[in-house]
Amino acid sequence: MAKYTEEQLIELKEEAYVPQEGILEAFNQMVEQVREHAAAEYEKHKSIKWGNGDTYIDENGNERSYNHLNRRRASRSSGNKNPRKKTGEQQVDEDGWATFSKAKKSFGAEDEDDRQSFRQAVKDGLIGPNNAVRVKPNNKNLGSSKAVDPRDAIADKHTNTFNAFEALGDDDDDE
Amino acid sequence: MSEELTKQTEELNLESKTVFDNKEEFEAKHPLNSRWTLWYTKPQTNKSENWHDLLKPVITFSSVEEFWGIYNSIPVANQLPLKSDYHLFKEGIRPEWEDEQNSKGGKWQYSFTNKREASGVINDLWLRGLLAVVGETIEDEENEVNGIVLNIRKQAFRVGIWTKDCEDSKLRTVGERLKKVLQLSDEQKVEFISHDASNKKGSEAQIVL
Repeated sequence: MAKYTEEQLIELKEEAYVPQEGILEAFNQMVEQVREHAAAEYEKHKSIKWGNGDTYIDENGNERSYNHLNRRRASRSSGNKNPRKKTGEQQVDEDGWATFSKAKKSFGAEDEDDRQSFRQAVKDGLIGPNNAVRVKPNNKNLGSSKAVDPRDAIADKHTNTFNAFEALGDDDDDE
Repeated sequence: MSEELTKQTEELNLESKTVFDNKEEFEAKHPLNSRWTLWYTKPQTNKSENWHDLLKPVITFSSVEEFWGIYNSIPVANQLPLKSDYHLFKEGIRPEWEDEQNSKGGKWQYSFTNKREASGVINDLWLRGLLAVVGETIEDEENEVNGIVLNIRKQAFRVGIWTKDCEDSKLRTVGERLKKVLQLSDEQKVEFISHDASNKKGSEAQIVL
């Protein structure tokens, strides 16, 4: 079995002989085409990611994009939790179970109490079909920023429509 | 008797080629033990290209001189585009695990994950790998090695030696030599995984050196 050590093979490096030059030239051309394609793809991707297509010619005559002006601020969504968000306190009971108590709501917390008292009143029979319910509107939530139902807007809208029959009638009256 | 001699002479003539028969063969002063084929995996540049279109045999050679001629004429490892592979396999073996000669085997491999650091040495290390394979010093007499592969990826350069089977006793020498060829420290481990296992999700290396 003919074996050659690394040193023996390196000694023969100068004896290099190219068997089929045409094939190797074609191969090199193919690799070069792939490289050019990859470079073009990279440029395309880069411009899609950062640029809006606007470019300028710099002092050396190179076309450059306005990346530095158009770049958006990095998103906070990846990794950084909202620092303002409060987490509930952890309570550990005698058995070692840990429970997160609900964080106190910044608004609407008293609704919970109202709901409880309403439920209790129903249970006690104070409120029900035989008893009138005195509703006190909670004005606090009326100033909602919710979009107005567009159908309501249409219903309320004052419209001036031209009715030909009415118009004819008017004419008759004038006469 | 004379008939027998004539036949023997004819056979001898077929075996020993002269420069008149084949000029290219005449250049071969240092024949290799095996004939080797260089393959290239071309990165996909068109979505209609499938794996078979991308895997291309480049050239086959059988002497040390031809090896150097080819090596000097093709791009070195760190100049290959991403997602390229070089494969150097014995002639007749496709660098695919489905090939009959590979199907029961596996590969020893090491990934150079620090590409910035490795890009300065990968050309030399890949050449050392090639020399160990064509010179057949990567193993003793086991005849286990089918070929060597270089993968150029975004995260790493990976060098692998593909073997005929998965017998632990036959493979250790190859693994140990690959480690030397790639100049790895004790902490840098080469791993062997069978082709069967590497096709299953979550499978681990069978031998680690």
